Formats: sequence, structure tokens, C-alpha cells
Amino acid sequence: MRAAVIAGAGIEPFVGRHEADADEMARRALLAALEDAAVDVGDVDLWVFGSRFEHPSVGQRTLCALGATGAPVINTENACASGTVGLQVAVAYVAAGMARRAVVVGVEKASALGSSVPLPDWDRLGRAGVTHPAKYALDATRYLHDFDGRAEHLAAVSVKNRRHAALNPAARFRQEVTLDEVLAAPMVADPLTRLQCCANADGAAAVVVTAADDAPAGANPVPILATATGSGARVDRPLPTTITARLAARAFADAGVGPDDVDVAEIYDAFTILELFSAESLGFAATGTAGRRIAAGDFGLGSPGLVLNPGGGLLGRGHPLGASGPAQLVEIVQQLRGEAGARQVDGARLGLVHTLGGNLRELECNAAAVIVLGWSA
Amino acid sequence: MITGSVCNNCGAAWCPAAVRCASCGSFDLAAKELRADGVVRAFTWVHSNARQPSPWGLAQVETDDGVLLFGLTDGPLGIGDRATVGRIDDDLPVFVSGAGS
Repeated sequence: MRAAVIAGAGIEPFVGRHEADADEMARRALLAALEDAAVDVGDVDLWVFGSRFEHPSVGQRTLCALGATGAPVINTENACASGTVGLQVAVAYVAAGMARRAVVVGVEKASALGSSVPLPDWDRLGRAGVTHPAKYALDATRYLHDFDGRAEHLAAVSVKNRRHAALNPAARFRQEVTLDEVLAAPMVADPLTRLQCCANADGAAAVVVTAADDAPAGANPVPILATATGSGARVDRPLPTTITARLAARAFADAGVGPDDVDVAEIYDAFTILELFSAESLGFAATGTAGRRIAAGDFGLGSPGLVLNPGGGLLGRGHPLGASGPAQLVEIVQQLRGEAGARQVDGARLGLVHTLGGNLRELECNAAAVIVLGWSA
Repeated sequence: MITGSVCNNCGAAWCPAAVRCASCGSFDLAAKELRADGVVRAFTWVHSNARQPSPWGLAQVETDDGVLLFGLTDGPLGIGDRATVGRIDDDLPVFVSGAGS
């Protein structure tokens, strides 16, 4: 198997409502990634598109206007992890020698969904009016109960990620918020206020994957050290923690590193409680401590050690579902290249991306992915 | 009132009913009416106009059969308290405080 790299990355900035349709947003992102990789669109021999709600064959429709026809197009749907799972498909093709220049694109015009992502009609919780934040609010109340936590520990996640997003030109939300503002925002479901729930957004992001020993001349490649994806187990405690821990163990073993080696990570934070679950199950914080540590200033830009969600996370960047995973990848690529500008994590050499997708009632989640990027030594 | 399935091999209970036991892998499961009593695992007030009056209660209860049920509530429930299914509304259990009869 050949080692793979991300040779190029591009993003169409996330906004509340984009003037372009999904196909055009995707084209802008993928062309930016191809330019970054110094690869011509005609040389791409695998396309992987990730989206949750876009029309069927979104990839073919996007590519038709570019005249980029003939190569395999794989359209993936794994809820919010659609794009990140797509990366593993591209890596597998490249590693097996089945593709030389692969492009992974995530796109979503989520503004069409309104203010929040609905639960599906076939879910009786959805029919009864239950929403995603309501379900995660249950987990938040239990977390605060189990670990003697306070609402401020959750709210601090939003303060940190919005502070980071203010430095990210591709983020939807460019204004910082205070702890008081987060706590005083309209309540969605106790204890999650509106500023603790990610907002839908429109946008697209893309990365170019090639073999490490066949990277394009003129590219600035970032090694992909490990990719691990999986689907959630049917468990008696439907929290997305065991799958994350399982995938992290596999990814860290494959990469030959551990959580203490990671300098910068984009982890899943659709709701503040999820950043705590994610940080703890990835091994970045002991169980029950992530909220306290974030409230104390850990994991933020400017603090020593690991920085979480320097691009703003889903809370700050906004959440065009299928595009969020590739946007996480774009952020880590920029960080590891030293191209992140005002939000640069000094000396970042090893990065991680973690995405969760889906909320089937009986599963811990529908899909998840952990990607390790960079240099281990 | 609440139906699920129980594995005849290892005894694990599932709701909604499963075809194959996720604990032991057995296909030998039988439909069963599950116990309506349990312990509140989590509770929240949902501030949404999807139901009236708003806010409305949502809870997770671990039943004495070992399954985790989502359901509505008519009032606040405390984590760790006993609760039981009082009725079914919109195809969802509605939990009330205390043990069932």
C-alpha cells in the first residue's frame, strides 16, 4: 500500500446564505484545491463527493459544467461525516494504485433546511417535535450531573471556538462572544442555549489526495498518517464516545503516535457538549474534565499545548453538513503548513481531524472518522 | 404497553425490537412487552414551539428491563428518580414520576 498525502486544499467560505447554488460552491472549492495542488482538473481520476441533503449525483452535476467527465464519481452520504468518510475512500484508491489524483469535495446548501437540521420523518422522536439539540441536551444534563459540572463549562466551548472563528476568513461567525452572552442567549434545550448549538451554513471544501511518492511538483503536501472510519454500535448508552475511542485507538496505532503528540485538532462540536465528549474520548482530556479545562483556558489559541478547533469548529465556522469534514481537513492542512495566519498554532507538526455523523436513536452515531495528519517526529 | 424483544440466549432486551442480538449475536429473540418502570437517566426542558405548551419535558429512562427509552414528560423529573410510563402520546411514552402500579 502506498502512503498518501493531501497535496492541495481549498474552501469556499461558509456563510449563512450563499448566492451560488451547491454545484457552483463545490466547483469553487475544488478548483481552489486543484490550484493549490498544482493539478489540472483533467488529470483527476477519482472524485468523491460528500453531502447529506444535496440532490442525487451532486458530483456529476458539479463536474458536468467543468467538462470533467469519464472518471469515477463516488457520492457519499454519512450525515455530517459524509466528507470525512469520503477521504478514506480516496486514500484507499490512491494507496491501492487505483487512482493517481483523487479529489474529495464536501458541499451543502444547508440554509435551505432552515434554522436547524430536522430529525427524519420516520423517527418517531422527530414526528413528536424532538430535535437534535434536545437529544444532546439530555446528554449534557447527564454529563453535568455525573461530573459535578456547571453550565459555564459548556458555554466556555462556544466562547473559545467563536474567538478562533473571528480569526478565520472562511468562518460564518466572525464576532467573539462572551461567557455571559452565551449563557444569556435564548434557551434551546436546557442547558444548551442558542450559542451552544451550531448553525446551518452554506459552503464547500475540498482536498486533493495523491501518493506520497507521486505528489505533484509545486505542491506542499501534508502526509496522511492514518484514517479510521466506522459506524456506531447499538449500545445501551447512546453516546458517541465509544466509537470515537475505538477509532482513535486504531488511528493512533496506525500513525505510531498518541494523543499527547498532537499539536492541533479539529474535533466535532456541533453542540458544546460534543466537544467535551470528543476531547475526552480522543484521549485529550480525562473523562469529566474537558469542560473545566476549557473554562480555565486550556485548548485555546495562545495557551500552551494542544489547540482544539483553531478554525472555529462547527460552532464558529457554521455547519454545511457534508462540507464540515473537508473544512476540518483544510484547516489542519493550513495549520501544518504554517499558513493559518492569525490563528496559526506555533510549531504545529501533528494534527488530527474527528467527525461524527448522524443520530439514529439506537446508535451512538451513524458514522465517525478520525484522521491523523502531519509528521510524527 | 412498550414492546421490544429479548434475547433467549443472553437475556439482553432491545427496544425497538432487534432481529439479531447486538450483545451475543444470537438470532433467537422473542417479542416481549417491556416493563414500564425505571430510573431517570436524563431530563431536559425543550424550548420549542413544536409542542405546546413550551417548554416541554423530554427524558431518558432506563427501564428495569435494561432498555433506554426516550419519552415526553408532564413535569420535571430528577436524574436518578423512579419514573414510569403514564401513557403513550404521539407514539412516544409519557413518563410520570414514581413507580407504576
